[in-house]
Amino acid sequence: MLKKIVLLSSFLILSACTTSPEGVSSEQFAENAKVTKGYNSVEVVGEKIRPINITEKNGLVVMKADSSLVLKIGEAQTSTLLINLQFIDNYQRYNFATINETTQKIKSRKKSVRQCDDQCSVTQYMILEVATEDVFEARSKGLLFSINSNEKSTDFMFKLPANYIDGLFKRYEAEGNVSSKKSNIVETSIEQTKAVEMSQYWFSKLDEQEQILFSTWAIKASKNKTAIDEGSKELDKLHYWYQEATLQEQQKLRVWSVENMK
Amino acid sequence: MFKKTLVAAALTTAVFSASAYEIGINDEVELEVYGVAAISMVNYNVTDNRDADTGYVLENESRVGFRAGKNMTDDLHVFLQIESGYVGNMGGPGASGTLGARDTFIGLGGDWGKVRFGRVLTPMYEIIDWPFSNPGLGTVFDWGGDVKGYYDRHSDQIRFDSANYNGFKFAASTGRGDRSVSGSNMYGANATYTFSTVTLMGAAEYNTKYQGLEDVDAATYLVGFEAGLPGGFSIAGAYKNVSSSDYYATHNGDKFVQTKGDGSQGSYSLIAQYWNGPLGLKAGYSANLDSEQNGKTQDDADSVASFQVMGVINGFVPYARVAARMPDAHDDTDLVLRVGLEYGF
Repeated sequence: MLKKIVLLSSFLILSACTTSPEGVSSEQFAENAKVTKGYNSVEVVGEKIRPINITEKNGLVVMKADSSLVLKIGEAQTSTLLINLQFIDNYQRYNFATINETTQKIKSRKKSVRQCDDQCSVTQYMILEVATEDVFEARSKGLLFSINSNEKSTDFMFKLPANYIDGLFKRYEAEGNVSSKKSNIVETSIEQTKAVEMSQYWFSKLDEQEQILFSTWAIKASKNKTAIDEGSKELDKLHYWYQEATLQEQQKLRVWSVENMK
Repeated sequence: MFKKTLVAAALTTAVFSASAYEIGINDEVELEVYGVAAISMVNYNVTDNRDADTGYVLENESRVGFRAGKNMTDDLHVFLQIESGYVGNMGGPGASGTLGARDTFIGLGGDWGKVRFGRVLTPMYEIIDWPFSNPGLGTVFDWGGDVKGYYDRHSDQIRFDSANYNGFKFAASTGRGDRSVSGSNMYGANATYTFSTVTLMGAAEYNTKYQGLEDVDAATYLVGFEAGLPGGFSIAGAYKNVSSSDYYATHNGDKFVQTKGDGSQGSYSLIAQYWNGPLGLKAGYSANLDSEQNGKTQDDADSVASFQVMGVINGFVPYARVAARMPDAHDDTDLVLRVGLEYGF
């Protein structure tokens, strides 16, 4: 769960333009994807596209749907699908999703918005989790999913096209990673600077209490400058090397430290 | 493990809040610019009844707004919204184009619901507006009618909206009626219950010294429903009634006036729609019944029948509507034709 949460850090802003996936090659999707290399995983974030709407003609009206896949390959094999779904207001809210016959409760990226002019619409900002294995399986045929008002219903139905998913895996492979065949999805690492290496070393020397102390401080200090509480010599060393790291490295170290507590 | 979870929660908050910004750089408050682009061309008297056709007009109901929010504590979210009026120079309420003309408020929210302070729809008007004044039924069901008694978008309100309890939710609101008149207050509530594809709705509003009129205390109630049917069809219907005792309010020219006596008027609205994928058809009929004023039934019923064809194309909604308006001021029917396009961004 923790690691699933951590991948939130990769959320890129759903930018203003949305691409229709039709006629776009997987190579183009690969080129437009953004890659973030973490300590234990690689994230490939696809551009925002309109998923293929295969909602049955049952009166549910999709005004606009945007989606972006955050493919995560590494230690935590859970990818994320971000959906912005705008539909004509019908007094229903859609808080469940089904992918590969598995139903999950949808998380909200932010509060839903109701907006009226001649028509009233509701926009829900959704976060769906999907096993990277399932995404890999969908590389050749696309990923079907439904957005539902309850655990038993099937309401809005969409497909993330194969060329889009294929493009994200191609980008992953093009980054010099090993083949992403399912059996070979492995942990990745990045070249470590001395500051990162030493920070990780000293962090591993702390007891559990000081590890929590450090992680909590690092998170708070990333927003507002605060001094770290006094502690052991190891904590002082860690503090020193952490300060030596770049801001980007510090951000990754914060994630890493939570993932690697005793 | 528990402590790790706490740290993880803190990390999540930090990471999420740093990632969810829609515009700008990483500062403290998430800020979003939004709006609606909406323009339509309309002729209010196509057949030139009474030689009164003044030609077509363009109505630009586009507007922009800002939303921002930030957690005060883990469980308390503070948010605000500032929305402009229509930018088109059309005159009338909400058409000033100035910021704050439409829903503009500061609110607090949590798992328990939300409370907003400022200019918002009254709980009852929210239901009158949607779904029962569309397509093109507002001229009767919204601002039509002779006996007056409720507000619509209104300032000086404190409005609470509950969370959703298995399909049931409610809203309650209170505030000032006319802020310059002592004792002029508004009280309103609504409740909706959704099960399967059916939603039942009820609302009430009570206003003392309505519109600042010294002797008018007006009460309005509404009951309604909306039901999705198989095959893309849905229907909706509502009845509302305005009444006041001893003195009642009417609208005369551009101001509200009070008259001695009891006053009441009923209205209803019926809507059917059909969607076939992105193409929709909508038909509506709404009527204000003859009002009762000072013990006499007036001959002032009016009605509108409307038919609309619309589509949705990647967020755009083009539509064409024809409406037959039968106002009480004359016996013939004005044919109204409107073609429009809107897009929310």
